[in-house]
Amino acid sequence: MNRINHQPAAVLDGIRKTRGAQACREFFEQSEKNGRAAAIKLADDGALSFGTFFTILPDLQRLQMQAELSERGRTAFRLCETILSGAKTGMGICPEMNGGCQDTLLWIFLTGMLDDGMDGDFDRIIDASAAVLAKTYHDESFLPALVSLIFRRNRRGSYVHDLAWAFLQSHSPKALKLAADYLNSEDGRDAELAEDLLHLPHVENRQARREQHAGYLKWLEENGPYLLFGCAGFNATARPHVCDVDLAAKYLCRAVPDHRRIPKDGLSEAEKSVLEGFAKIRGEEQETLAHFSSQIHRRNPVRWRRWIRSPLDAQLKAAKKGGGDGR
Amino acid sequence: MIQIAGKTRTLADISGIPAGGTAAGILAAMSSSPSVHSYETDGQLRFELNLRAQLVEKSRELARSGLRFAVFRDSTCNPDFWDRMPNGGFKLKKNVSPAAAVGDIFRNGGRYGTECATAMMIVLYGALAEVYGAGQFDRLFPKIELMNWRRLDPRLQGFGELEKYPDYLPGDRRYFANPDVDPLVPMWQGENVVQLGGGLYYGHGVGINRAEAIIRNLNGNRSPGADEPAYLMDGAGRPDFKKLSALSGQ
Repeated sequence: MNRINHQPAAVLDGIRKTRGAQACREFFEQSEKNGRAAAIKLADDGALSFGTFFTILPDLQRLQMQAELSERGRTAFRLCETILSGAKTGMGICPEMNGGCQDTLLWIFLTGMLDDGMDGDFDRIIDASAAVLAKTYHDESFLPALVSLIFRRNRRGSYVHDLAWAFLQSHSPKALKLAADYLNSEDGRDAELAEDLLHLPHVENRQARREQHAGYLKWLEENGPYLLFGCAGFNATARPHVCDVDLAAKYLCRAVPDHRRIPKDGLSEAEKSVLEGFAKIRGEEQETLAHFSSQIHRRNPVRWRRWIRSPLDAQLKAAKKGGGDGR
Repeated sequence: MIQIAGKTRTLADISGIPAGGTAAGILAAMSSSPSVHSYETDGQLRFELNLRAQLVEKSRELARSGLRFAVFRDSTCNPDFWDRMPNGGFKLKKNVSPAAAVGDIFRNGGRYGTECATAMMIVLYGALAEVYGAGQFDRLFPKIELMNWRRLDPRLQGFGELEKYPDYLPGDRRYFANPDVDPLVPMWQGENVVQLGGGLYYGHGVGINRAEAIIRNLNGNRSPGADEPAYLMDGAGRPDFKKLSALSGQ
């Protein structure tokens, strides 16, 4: 859910948009001269965009206002200073990983993306916020905005490297679905980037792209609960291996927790016993069994319970014969 | 094991490789490997040995060049040869010799700043320029973009992929991954390296080092409470040596 409040536009935003950044800074400076509390109130306005906060950041620094700002302002201030100094952070921004920090990062990203491209340093902060939201908080609420910004920048030919990394670090099937929707785009640049993000081969014509899109969504629906995510980005390879299917989990029809392999001590004795046989068969047969298992589990749970308890040979025979629709 | 035209060859069968050099070391590693290194012709094998040796040599040369580390946002290049693109990559200028432009990075490294992936591409293009010679290199690679692996020439795509192989050899591009990297320092998400042999790797920003030292560097940039250490991935980027050999006429 978008946690940004819908309030009347902030005074400073209005000045920046109508009269420009310099006028905005001058207004803020004059406000401070008239009364410090009033200036703080302007900077803490709930409706203020991060773009404007960033515009007055040099003034906040010069006037040493950091400590007087709200939690949002203080966190944003620290984040900006840390990112722009290029210092090793040790995550000093959010030492307690509290919800307030996450809300501030969401505010930075969601209101900041409207001013994307304003300034190199500004974009650097937007990208860093995305990375923390995705990798540390696994925040799924901002993924539509993240994916939208990645593809918008890609069309402009501007910098997507760090945002793409944030996307890959989200470890979220929802993110994959959002990127998959660009496979079907009329713009070839969208489709090519979506293919790279999803580790799919490049296809040329619209019909092939439509088929790729439909095939991927079907694959994602079947395998989403069983995905294990990798850590590599475009830094490592042209088409990062974004995820693998945990075939053992799919075979047991047990969604993987936090997209990490199910720990052995998290399995029942019956499941461990079933997996012993599964581990000994060839990879192709594992795929066949896992696919069949997920199909009949969804369509006929009673039949699935019977089938998973049957000897492995019988399971394979049934799987190769097909009929995963449960009839 | 080495096979040429379907026949197993021993080291004694392959002459003309200078003893004690990098190529001889790679040849010995291939020969003693339990996996089969198979070639249609003697020329294909020699081309691969030559290119791998150049990848090692150019790695060492780039490490000495003064090339600075800079994230793509802050990348810099010599505008006499390259246009800096909005994504932080470098695009070869029109009417400039590709070999001269690549060579300039090795000669005037201090005028350039970029990330580790781009450095790997510079090593590769530098090695290819040596192997083909400037004239042929210029004809084969008239358009070059240096950035991350997405911008690599399709004929060199294998160098930008990470595939598992039974054994890894000097000249392979390898990757140290850092899964628990602090998200505020994404430049430490991993390190692209060229395997040099003798347990050494060249990575731009970390220099020539052993695996333990590179891992230590990466581990020092993880989030607090990180439980997964950095590691060398089981995979390598390799150009298609045989196709590149065909381009050379060998």
